[in-house]
Amino acid sequence: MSGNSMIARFLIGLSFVIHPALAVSEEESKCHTVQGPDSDTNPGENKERFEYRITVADKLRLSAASAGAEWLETEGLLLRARVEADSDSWGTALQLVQKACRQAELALQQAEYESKAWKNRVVD
Amino acid sequence: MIRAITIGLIILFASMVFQSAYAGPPEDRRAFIAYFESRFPAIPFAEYANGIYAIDQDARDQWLEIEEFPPYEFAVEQGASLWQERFPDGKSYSDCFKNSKNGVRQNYPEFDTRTGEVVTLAKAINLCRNKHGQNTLEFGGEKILALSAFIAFESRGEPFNINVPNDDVRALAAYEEGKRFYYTKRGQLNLSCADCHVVSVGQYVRADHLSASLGHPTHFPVYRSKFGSMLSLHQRFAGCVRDVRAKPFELQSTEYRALEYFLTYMSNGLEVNGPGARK
Repeated sequence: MSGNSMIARFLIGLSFVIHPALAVSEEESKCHTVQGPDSDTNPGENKERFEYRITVADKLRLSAASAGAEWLETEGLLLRARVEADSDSWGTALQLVQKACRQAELALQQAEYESKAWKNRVVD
Repeated sequence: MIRAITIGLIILFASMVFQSAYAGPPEDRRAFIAYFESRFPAIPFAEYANGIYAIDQDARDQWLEIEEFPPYEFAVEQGASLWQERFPDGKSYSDCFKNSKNGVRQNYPEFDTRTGEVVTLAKAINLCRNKHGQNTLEFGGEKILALSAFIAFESRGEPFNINVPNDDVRALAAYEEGKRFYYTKRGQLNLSCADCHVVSVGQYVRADHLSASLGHPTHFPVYRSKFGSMLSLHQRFAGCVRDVRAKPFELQSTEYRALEYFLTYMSNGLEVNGPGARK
């Protein structure tokens, strides 16, 4: 990389902008989009849905962690989701799980991309 | 004739590709220094030990005033007192750090060929304590920071001389791990160390100018006015990782020790000037 190059700087900045475009699409995501509103009339179904999704999200988070790529707030989001679920606030709980799950997915994608991309930035 | 020229060009090209793909630590360091020298031709090499104060004149002026009554002096005094303590077996730190009169800081981190690990100064302090029957000090705790500050102060003026033995694949792997960490984007903000401390040196981040990585380790530990206390290099690493919204690693983790190994090797030849004072 020619560090003083305006082109190099532009490309590095662009990599931040286009990074979300490399992200896993909603259709391909392992994190299911939250379906329907908070259902107080059927708490059993909400609990089952929540437990499944928080398990998926936490597995993805742990995968990101083992790749050294975990983001800062993912674990906190899952803890907050658990607190909301314990209070039967299922809509909020599921939204928090969804957010954490997508963060973990993006972190894993970032780690995979960076496993090769970093070499292009080495000063030479 | 044409065939001979073609073959010659192919061999020449292949050797260039091979060389660039397998650039080792000395080549990396030369390129690193050349990059900053071309970006900031007016800054002498030795000045990079002063971090942002080599680039930002206003900050430098404030720093020079602070240095008249250095806030790290208390840590140095505490460290001097701790250095003199005797372990239960009658030994002391000077029994672990040979030739300490010639300075110690400039030799760390070192690659321990017995254990295959990068040993930083903080780890070496604890290894010394354990060897002589003393408990481990908390990394990032007041005592280990005070000892580090004293050792750095006594080592001032000694040029960093970190070795990456090229006949030890484990040492090279540790160096490469640090290099990979340095250039890898991470966190929700998708930034690498290089994004700030290579590409954006001299630019603002919030209210501060970004410093060059060349010379980063030379002045640690630092007294940070923001916290009113001493701060280690690994605590600074953790802060940066947190600032890009990635989960920080543990102090003295394999990752941070590899990063320190890489960064300090890049700064070889610069003099120890710790402890430092920073905002």
